[in-house]
Amino acid sequence: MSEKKLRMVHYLNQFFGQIGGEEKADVAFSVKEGPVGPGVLLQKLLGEDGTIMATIICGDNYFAGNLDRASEEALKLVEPFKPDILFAGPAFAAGRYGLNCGEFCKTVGGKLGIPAITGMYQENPGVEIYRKDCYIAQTGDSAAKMAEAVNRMVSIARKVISTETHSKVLAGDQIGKPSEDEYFPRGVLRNEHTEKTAACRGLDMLLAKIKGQPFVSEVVMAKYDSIPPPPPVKDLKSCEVALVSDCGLCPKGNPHGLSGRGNKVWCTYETKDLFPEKGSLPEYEVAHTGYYPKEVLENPYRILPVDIMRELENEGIIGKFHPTYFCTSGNVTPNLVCHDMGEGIAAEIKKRQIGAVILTST
Amino acid sequence: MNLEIESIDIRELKKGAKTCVSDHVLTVNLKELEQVLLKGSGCLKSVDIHLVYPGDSVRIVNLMDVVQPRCKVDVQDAHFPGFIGKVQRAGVGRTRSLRGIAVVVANPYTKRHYSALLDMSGKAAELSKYGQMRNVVVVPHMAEDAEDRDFEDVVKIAGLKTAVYLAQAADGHPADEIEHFDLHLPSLPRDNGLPRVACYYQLYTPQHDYKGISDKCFYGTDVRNLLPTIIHPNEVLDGGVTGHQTIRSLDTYTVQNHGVIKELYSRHGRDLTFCGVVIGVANMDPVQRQRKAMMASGLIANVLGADGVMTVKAHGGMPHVDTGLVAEECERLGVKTVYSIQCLVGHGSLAEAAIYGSNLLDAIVVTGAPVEKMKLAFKPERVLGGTPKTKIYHPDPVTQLAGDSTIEVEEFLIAGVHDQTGGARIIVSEY
Amino acid sequence: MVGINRALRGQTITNLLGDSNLPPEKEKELRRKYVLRALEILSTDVQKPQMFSLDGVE
Repeated sequence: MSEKKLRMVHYLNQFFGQIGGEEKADVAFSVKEGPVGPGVLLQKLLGEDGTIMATIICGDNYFAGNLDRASEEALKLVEPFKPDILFAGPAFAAGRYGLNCGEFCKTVGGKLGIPAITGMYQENPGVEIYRKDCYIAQTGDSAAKMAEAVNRMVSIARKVISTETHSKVLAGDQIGKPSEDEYFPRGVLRNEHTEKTAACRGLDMLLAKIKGQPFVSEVVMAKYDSIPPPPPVKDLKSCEVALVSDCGLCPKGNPHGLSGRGNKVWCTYETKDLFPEKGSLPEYEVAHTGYYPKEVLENPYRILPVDIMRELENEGIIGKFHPTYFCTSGNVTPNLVCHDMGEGIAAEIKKRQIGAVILTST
Repeated sequence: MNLEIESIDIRELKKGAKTCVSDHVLTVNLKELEQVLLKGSGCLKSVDIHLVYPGDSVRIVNLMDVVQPRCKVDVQDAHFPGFIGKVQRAGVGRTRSLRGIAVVVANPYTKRHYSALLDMSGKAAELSKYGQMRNVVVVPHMAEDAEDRDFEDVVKIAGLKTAVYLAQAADGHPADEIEHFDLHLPSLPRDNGLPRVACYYQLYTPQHDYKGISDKCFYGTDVRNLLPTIIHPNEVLDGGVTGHQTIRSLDTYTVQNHGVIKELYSRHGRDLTFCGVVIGVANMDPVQRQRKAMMASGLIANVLGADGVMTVKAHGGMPHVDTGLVAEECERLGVKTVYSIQCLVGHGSLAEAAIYGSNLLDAIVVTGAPVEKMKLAFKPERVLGGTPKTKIYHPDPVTQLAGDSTIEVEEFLIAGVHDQTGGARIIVSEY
Repeated sequence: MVGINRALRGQTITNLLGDSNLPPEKEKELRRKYVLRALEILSTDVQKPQMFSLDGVE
């Protein structure tokens, strides 16, 4: 354990902060020196390794009523204590409290650049929303399990602030594994040192598979929901068709800041501006590092067949070629981000009452 | 085919009047080495050669390759055949290898999107196998009228020539270890009860070819249009195959010590029969890719007669899908497959990171998450292969330079950490 | 395929709807073929995810 006595600040709601029950849910922030309520047990378990400098207490409704204002105020109150680590709750199954603890950890911890630890029951809505932004210890569903919850929070803290090397991650930062320290996975993939090479592990797995013995794959593929196919277009002649693409082709200068890898942004460009029918085409760039863009830059119609779409509209084969190009870059973007972008684009497509989409993908 | 690699451990490296290895000390005449490299190459104006040691405050940037010093001992003109030596089969006879030394090759004129780097101090040095070695850094300078893509190939060859030059210096020095790689495919036992296991080695992907020109990584030839074929594993270990010119966890040193091939050799006759290697190249065209998968799986199942195969891929998403198709076709022919992949994103779950999946691919090994970012709080006193103002790749919008006191790099850009051939002791966990 | 019900196999990664070996007019013809095929597929009933090619179904 660290020799330096670490400084900690603890956030509680009005109930655990011993101000009152539901009738006091609207109280504004107050600060008490030292630990309060569950903080007393927290301090006891931390022992000589850390000091809870202060407890920040706020009513659940006050915080939840205006998250931005509450986080700003909390930050101002916490900052003077110069903490090394933050605690919040634990919130158990309490939804409002859980969301507030999560927001506190995410914003205040994030702005101060320090680790933040809270605790919630698995069904607390705060878990899914905030587990990537802070450490959420797994707890029971009520304060009857307070001791277990606080123990887990302290155990996570000890790992995070430890100066002894216990972590196996290549990057060297001290972090315990979710399964060992019983916190909700934060959705991060880390490289770890391990005894056996990948070649060795692979061949062990292969030999077991050949012999019909059980083996454990390092990845078990996700099962995706199937989406019922939309009915076909009844009459192309009256249909408005739009082009969408993940090729990353955009005006030179990439005004919407698409990322060449792991992109999270989509945007739109008017085809009349980006692909003018008369005169020369403007300069483009390709914000996508997953393919060599030379052919596309020579002739963007190779990936965005705007020329053909215009012809087909003139010939009456399609009702209308939608004048906006929906643009994104799809190179190593995680599924959930793709899902969000897709939802966003689809909502806009529906709003504009576009009948069909051709999505081109490299 | 029988290959003997005699390894000599080098415990000290210094410059001197005569290039030689004596008592495990390698002395290098830097001027002479430069002359050797300049001979016959119009592209080169000059070559800087630096000796670097673990703990040096040095960062080497614009890396193009890392090579283990090796030379053929008993066959003429056979070093890295097709690259420097004349085209002839690699993997027979006797090869001398120096351990504890790497040739680190940098191209200061590179226009590639990103290049690898190597630190001799700090976290990157601790994690990289090359950061623990004494290294000979070769930095060629381009002649005025040279064309930059041609120059790149010349830089690569300079690294290989240096590797040969250094290994030759140990002529007469007793070997510390002799390894035998003896595999005669036609006479492999078929009734010893051991499963026959092959390796599918995707040795190249053309998706990042600079100026659309592929690296000449197979006996000195460009393999963009190579149909899948059978080669002897010794050809991989003994200089028939080199690494990618942007490295991406597949430098020549890594190829010379191919993780899966060496592991198969170590188990040959014990718990499996190593029945051969099929090489292939990732295809951009889907029809070619399907044809390749059909042919490669055919070779593995019907010619090598494999009961199982482990696939090895190059870095990238398309190679991931490409080897996945080969793996599926193998499974359809009754060959049990282990599919090796990397996580190309740093977040989500392992399942989300596998961008290609099917019910047939139920045995997956993850060699690493190479895009995990690492902060390197190491400000080098010297930057080799570039300058302190050389840009170190980071996704937009961050700009960082080689001389900055802290940089953040994706791990695959640090040479010697990750290993596409499965030779690193790394596993990926969900946190 | 994740969430895709109607997919059409293109030419190649770096040139999805074309072929740089062809002269420009021929390449444009190929591109038109692809777009018309895409529109045809959009007008086709599918019951489950289907991969199509220029000529048929995969």
